[in-house]
Amino acid sequence: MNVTQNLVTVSFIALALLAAVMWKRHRSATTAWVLWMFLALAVGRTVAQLVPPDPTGIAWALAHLPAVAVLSFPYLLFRFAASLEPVDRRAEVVVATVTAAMLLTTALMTGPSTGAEPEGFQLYVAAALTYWTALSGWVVWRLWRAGSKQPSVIKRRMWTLAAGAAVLNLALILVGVDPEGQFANLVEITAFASAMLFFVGFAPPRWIRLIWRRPDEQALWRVERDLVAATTREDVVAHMLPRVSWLLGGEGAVFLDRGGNVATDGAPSARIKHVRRQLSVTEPATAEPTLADGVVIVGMREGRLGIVASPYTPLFGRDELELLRGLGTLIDLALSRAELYDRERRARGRAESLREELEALVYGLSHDLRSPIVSVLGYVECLEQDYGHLLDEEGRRFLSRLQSNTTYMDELISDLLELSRVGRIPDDPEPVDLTELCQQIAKELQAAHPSASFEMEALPWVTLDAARARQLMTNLLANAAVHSGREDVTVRVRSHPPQRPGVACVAVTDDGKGIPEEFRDRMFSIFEQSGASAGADRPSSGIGLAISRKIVEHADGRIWAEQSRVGADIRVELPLASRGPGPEAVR
Amino acid sequence: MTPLRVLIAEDNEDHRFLLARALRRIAVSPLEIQEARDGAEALDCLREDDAGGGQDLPHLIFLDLRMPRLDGFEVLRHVKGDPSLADIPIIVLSASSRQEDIDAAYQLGTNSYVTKAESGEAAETLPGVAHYWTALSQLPHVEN
Repeated sequence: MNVTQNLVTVSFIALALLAAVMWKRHRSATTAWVLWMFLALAVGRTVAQLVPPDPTGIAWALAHLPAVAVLSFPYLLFRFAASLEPVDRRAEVVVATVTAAMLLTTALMTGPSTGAEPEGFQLYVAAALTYWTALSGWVVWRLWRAGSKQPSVIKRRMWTLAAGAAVLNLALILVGVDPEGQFANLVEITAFASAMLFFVGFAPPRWIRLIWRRPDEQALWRVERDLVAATTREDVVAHMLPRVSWLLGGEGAVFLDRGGNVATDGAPSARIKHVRRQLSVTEPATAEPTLADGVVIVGMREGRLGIVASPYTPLFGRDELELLRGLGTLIDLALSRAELYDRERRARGRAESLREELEALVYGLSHDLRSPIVSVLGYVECLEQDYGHLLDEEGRRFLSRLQSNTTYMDELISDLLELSRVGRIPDDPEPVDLTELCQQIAKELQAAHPSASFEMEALPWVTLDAARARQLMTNLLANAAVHSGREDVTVRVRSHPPQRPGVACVAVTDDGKGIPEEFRDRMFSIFEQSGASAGADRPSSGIGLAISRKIVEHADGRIWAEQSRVGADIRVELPLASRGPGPEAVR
Repeated sequence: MTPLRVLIAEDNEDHRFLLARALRRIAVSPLEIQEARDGAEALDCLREDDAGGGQDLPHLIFLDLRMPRLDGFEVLRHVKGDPSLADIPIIVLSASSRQEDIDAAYQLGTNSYVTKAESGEAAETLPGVAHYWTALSQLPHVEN
């Protein structure tokens, strides 16, 4: 019996201490009222225990205290609830008056037990109980209703508090209906239960908070997932705002980004306007969510978040503020990522339009350059046809040189156009049989170079756009035939062991005059050529090899000239195709 | 022999001259060549020719694509869209070898597309093409 009583007293004292700590940490009207509430309970209870059953002197005076203290509890509870959500002025006055009357009656009524009940004691008890139940009940209902609108942890804390008040009420009713003290134990247990409920409501241990948060976890996880998946700024803001607002009771949130743009969630209201004002007024906020004037502000690199805090947030929303900090970081990440995406999109758009401009320019240029070439060639032909007979051999040679140079110019333009197209025009890599391709090309070249011989070894399959492959090999083979310096050149195409896995290496060699040492590095650049080749009636443009290099490099391959004792040795590395066309063909 | 009437629509005067000259060299029957310097002039010529009941319309039209005022594509669209003109074979003779231009021209109804320059390609294929279209309309041939 004593143990339970002491336990209850100790728990009420502990509650008072808890309230003192809470008040110290965050001074406000609300925490002050909480402190008064539990102080009243603690003091009342302690004094009641300490005062001997037959008090004299000071003890006699103190004997009044417990009843007064305990009976003030509902009023203090009422003031606590009113500090969170204001109450009608008139109601306040009424309650205060009734309380004053109650307390006065108590002071006069209770006293040292003289053995006989004073008159009207039963009436008094009934009145006291009604008063307590009415006030307490009203607060319980208030808390319950407000709590249901909040997210889970806040909600459950408030409900627990309400339950505590209700259970305390129950304890008192038991006392009232049991004057003989038959249910004393039950009363103590009930009082203890209410103390525990108050504890959990005001300072729930971590494991309880985790359990309470479970229903929200899904929602929170979804917020994180959506933030990670968002690719545009608008997406991020649209996902985040309603969620952070919900986290603190759903009355609205405002986001002010670095550029001064404002995004809002929640119906336009005085509260939202207030938040906006706070956001623009406060100094650069920190990442730590701060609560001021009913607004929670979270500072991030990309902007500031202002959330309408419910009146219950300061007291019950510690956890939520913690969560906000974590969310703030995620939001920052999501926003800066969205910005990166946006920049990349724009850069790509610019590159694309530049490419189109270039294409148009190249085309226009080549077209405009070609028109006069057509005219010159045409007129040269006219000269030849109509006045050729008037010219001597020298004159006719002049005409011929006119013709070949102009044709060369035309080819140059054609090649330049081609060079600019490689890599710009999307191509379609596929497995290409080099052996067959080179054999075809050799056959075609044979007509222009009747004394030359072309020898092919078995060559690997490579992955390359078919048209580009043809262009490349034609360039290389024709080059070998033309620049060898001899009519009866032997051009060989051989396969070589590759220097790295996944590539095929092919060598195009000839037994002609070869490539001068100092030229080997430069030969693949545009316009480099080691002088006109004897025997050819026109020079070839130096672009063929440059085009070859571009084709090869675009396919992630390499091209270079090997050192060679006799003639030229051009090596090409290209991606190997696993096999010929078939269901497993490499693409 | 009834003369072969040809309309050349080409803004470059050198090209006009060279084409007319080339045609004269390969024509078998007497040639009546009309020259238009841009698309609008070409359509005007056709309208005038059509006014006389259609007997003066050209048997063949050579069309450049890039001309001021009205380009070749517009002329194509107009001619092939007009039932009284649509039967006239059109040979587009252009410096452009771009696939988009070739496709667009055929889509609009050109009968042939020959690219200029390319070192004499036009000189080789032109007579053949011209022969084909003039022969097709059962008129005096040009020599192949």
